Amino acid sequence: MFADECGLKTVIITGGSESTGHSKGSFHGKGLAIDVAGTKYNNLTHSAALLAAKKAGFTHGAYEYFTGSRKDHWHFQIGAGNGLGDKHSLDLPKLYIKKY
Amino acid sequence: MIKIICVLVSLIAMTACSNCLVENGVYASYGGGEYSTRLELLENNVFNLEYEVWKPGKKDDSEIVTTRGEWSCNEKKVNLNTGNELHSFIMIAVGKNPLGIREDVKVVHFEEGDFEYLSREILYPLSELIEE
Repeated sequence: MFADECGLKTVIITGGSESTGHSKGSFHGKGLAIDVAGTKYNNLTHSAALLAAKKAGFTHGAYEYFTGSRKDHWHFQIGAGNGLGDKHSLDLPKLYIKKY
Repeated sequence: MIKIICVLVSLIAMTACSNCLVENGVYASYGGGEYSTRLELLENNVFNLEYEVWKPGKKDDSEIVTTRGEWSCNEKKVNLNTGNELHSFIMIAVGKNPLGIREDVKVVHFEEGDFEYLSREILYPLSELIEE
């Protein structure tokens, strides 16, 4: 759904409903979260990603930015929890960005 | 004479089979998620494995699991052995990929095994993942 809404012909999704590799309580294993490769791999702005995520039904998210590596990604999930709360709501005008 | 030939053939076969095609080095997962895996293969056949996982946006509070053991190699296949856990991988060319990595770069492709977080994981040479 996110891929359909983001406007790109191809989009690199790096995480889905896999049960391994994520933290305990992760929304990934419940089929309620996705990880999308960052701006270096997907020609998306934060506002475009936010809009596509909302249209796809996600309610919370964050962008993790890792200086000097290729780990940047958007994480979107349905519902609050597992570290994401009010400040990560997709109803806010700007997406929460965490830099490391 | 036949015995000598048999011994020679066996030795040649054993030598060929023990030919390790995997290089020492550091291999790491391509991020894009809330976890990171780093495997270090040392010359003395010791390996160090580090698995880090965090909640979204909370990498500062990550959990890190480190494992150390011995690795053995037969051609493109490597076994990681801690004494009570065993996991294997094969070294393959990455081929076409969306990361912009040369198709001939050799990557680590894990099979199913005792380390759950490694199953079906792919690790890339660290040098390919660091931004210039």
